[in-house]
Amino acid sequence: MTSEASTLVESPSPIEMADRLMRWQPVVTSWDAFRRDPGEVAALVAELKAMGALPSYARPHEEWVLQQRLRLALFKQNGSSPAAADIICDECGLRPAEVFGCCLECAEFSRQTIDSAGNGITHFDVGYHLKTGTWGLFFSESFSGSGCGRSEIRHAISFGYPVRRDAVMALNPVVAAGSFHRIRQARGIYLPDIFPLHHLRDMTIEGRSFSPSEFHVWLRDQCVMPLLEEGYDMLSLKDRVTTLVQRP
Amino acid sequence: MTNKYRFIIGSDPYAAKDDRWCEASTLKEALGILFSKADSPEFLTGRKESVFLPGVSLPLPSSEVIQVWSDNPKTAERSIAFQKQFDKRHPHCTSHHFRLHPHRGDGVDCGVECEIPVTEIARYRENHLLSKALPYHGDSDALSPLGQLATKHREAAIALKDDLQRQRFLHSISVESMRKEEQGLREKSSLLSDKIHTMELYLDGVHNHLIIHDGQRADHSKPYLVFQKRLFLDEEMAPVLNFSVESFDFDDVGSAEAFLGAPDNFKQFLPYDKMILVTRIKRHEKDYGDPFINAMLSSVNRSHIVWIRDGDRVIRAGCDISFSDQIFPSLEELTEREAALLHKFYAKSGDDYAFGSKTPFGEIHPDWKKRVLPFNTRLFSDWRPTFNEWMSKPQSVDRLNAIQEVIREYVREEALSGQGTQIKFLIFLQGLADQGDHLLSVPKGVNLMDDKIFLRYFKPLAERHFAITDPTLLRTWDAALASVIKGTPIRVHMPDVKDPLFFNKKSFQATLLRKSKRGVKEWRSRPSKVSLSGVSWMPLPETFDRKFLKSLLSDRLWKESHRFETQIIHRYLVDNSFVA
Repeated sequence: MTSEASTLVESPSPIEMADRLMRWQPVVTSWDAFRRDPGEVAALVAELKAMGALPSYARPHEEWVLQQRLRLALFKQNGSSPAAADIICDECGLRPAEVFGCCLECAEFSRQTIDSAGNGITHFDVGYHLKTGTWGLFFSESFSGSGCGRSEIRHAISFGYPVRRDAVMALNPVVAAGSFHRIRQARGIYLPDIFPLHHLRDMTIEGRSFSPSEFHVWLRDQCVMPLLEEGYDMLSLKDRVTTLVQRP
Repeated sequence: MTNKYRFIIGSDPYAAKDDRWCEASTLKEALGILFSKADSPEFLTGRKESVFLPGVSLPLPSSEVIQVWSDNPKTAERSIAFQKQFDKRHPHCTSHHFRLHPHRGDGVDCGVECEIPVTEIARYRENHLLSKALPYHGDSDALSPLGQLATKHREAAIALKDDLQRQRFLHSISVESMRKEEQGLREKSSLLSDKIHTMELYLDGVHNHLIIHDGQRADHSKPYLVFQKRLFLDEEMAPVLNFSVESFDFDDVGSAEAFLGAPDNFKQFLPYDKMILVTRIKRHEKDYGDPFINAMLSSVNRSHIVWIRDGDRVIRAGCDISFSDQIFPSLEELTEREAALLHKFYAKSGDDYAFGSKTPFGEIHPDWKKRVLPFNTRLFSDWRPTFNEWMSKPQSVDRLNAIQEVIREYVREEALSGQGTQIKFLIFLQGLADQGDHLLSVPKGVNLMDDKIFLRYFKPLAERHFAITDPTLLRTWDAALASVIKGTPIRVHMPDVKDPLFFNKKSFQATLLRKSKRGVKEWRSRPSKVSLSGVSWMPLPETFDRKFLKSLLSDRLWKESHRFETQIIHRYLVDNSFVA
């Protein structure tokens, strides 16, 4: 009886599983501690070597963290620090830049998330919604060659996020779905494209907008539930997502 | 007099058009103009080259601020100073990154005046609009006479349009209902015509038959042997009746009947006591000299005749069925087709890639990737799983089953579509058994559609060619008898695989009979000329020709084909006088 009850409790419904996935937060490392004591160079190199040579799409986030720690350790060995360049991080405007004009905290966040995507014509990004004074998700499509120069349609698919970071995090399942389809295509499985951004294009034509909660439900139905139905291992996918969306 | 400067917002002022610039004496005025002039200033966020300017930039992310640029000399100087300072510290960066060239494009320097948070745009826009708004003149709804007329007309037009649209909608509904009705009628009529055709088939043999020779009938307990190979009457009869194969047509069927009226003759043509044979009148089309007449008469030449022999009684029955080369096809063919389809889908060995071959372009150097590609390039083939990897996943088993089911369904559908003629033939035989006055020695009222009952009275004889009399071979063919296909499921009679010569026989059958559509005569006469790489040789003497062919074919094949020819000759030309 108890075992049955425990299994009933342990196995969540598909919607619960999807919600659990969408509540995923990026990894946050305490960089201040590592700045003070990054560790021994030799030990870090040995730890990196022990991880083995993996293909780039299968590298875990911990490897990147170890690499940054190794950089910090090498700086310390030479008696300098990356902050000596005296450039301030463009993302936060607070901390000194350490990785290509960016501090380690911002670099870690941005390599695990995405705030814009698109091909040459359609584009999807996060922006400020002036009418409501909140942050929102925008879909834009540009046209040219019809005799009237270049024109662009831009439509807020959802707005009402108080902070920019909330809007970025709302896009996270889209990233997962996108990379999922990219993996499938790379494996040679060419099915009709069901990438959810194409449905967003229809919404611009209808002129509809979502509230954040509506957008959450819509995303869950459109791109997370189909993946769960296919039985794809989403938790292992998560690692791939973070590495597929790498930035320099 | 105050100096006026030029201002612009956005992260990339040098690429902007002239209409985005504005002239103002103070920053506040400029912001008012700029933020009201731009359609969507909130999208112009970002810092040029992502450079944080200390002392000017706000402590905010670049995606949340809008840069304001001006050609004020003080601002430009500040920008130039920062640029120089930056170049001194990072000499390696100047040529690639952080290009803050402080000039406007026409020689005048400019720089970043300030940064505005996106969230504060509304303030500047409102101020500007309020200052420019027209005064409000009161709240009367009065319209001029022209305006009243225009609104009235407009309302009438809208009502008219609505009415038109409604009527169109109703019309489309009625059209749709009529269309559905018509479709139903069409389906009914097609069903009716099918039924009529079935009835015609059923009574075809009864109305359209001729007893060529009558006599004592064979043993009733024996079944009819139904020959599986469809023959061509012109090829069978023309040599005997001194016609040429080309000239024989439907007009000569009478003389063929007259020839078969003699017992010695029909016993050669129909060798077994109780048997049924289907022949088409002519294999190839005959040219009558007129395309219209050709079209009319060739349809008659294409019609079929069913020959039924029961002891000394021979019946010729007309039949409105277009048979294929096989009367009841063996299911080996279907299984072979399925295997061929499966072969397309699956890899040959587990190390090959699923759904495709490993090296599609033949042999390549093993290190070609290292030589040709840059080190960080990944190919699609690296992502592709091999067949074993693909099979090891749990969900792939279901997919595999689904694929196999699709293939099986496809093959079954093909088989069912090919069954049409067989079922028609069954209906034809059923009609003969029921309505014919003892045309068949089958009791009236038996259901021949049941395959067990059918096999009691009829035995499909899988004698692919007409000349095999070797009893050992016949026994093997009997083992491979085709079953009578009736609906699903299909029953498969596999031949005896323990027979050591089975595969040889099968290959012989495949090469000699199934694939070659040439007649027996053409075996010798065809290869008179050999051409290799464009060079054509003179025709060689016949002896050499035969030797050449003999070396090409295997001994078994050669012997069988030779025996085949001689038996044909011995059947029709008993005295062998025409053979040199």
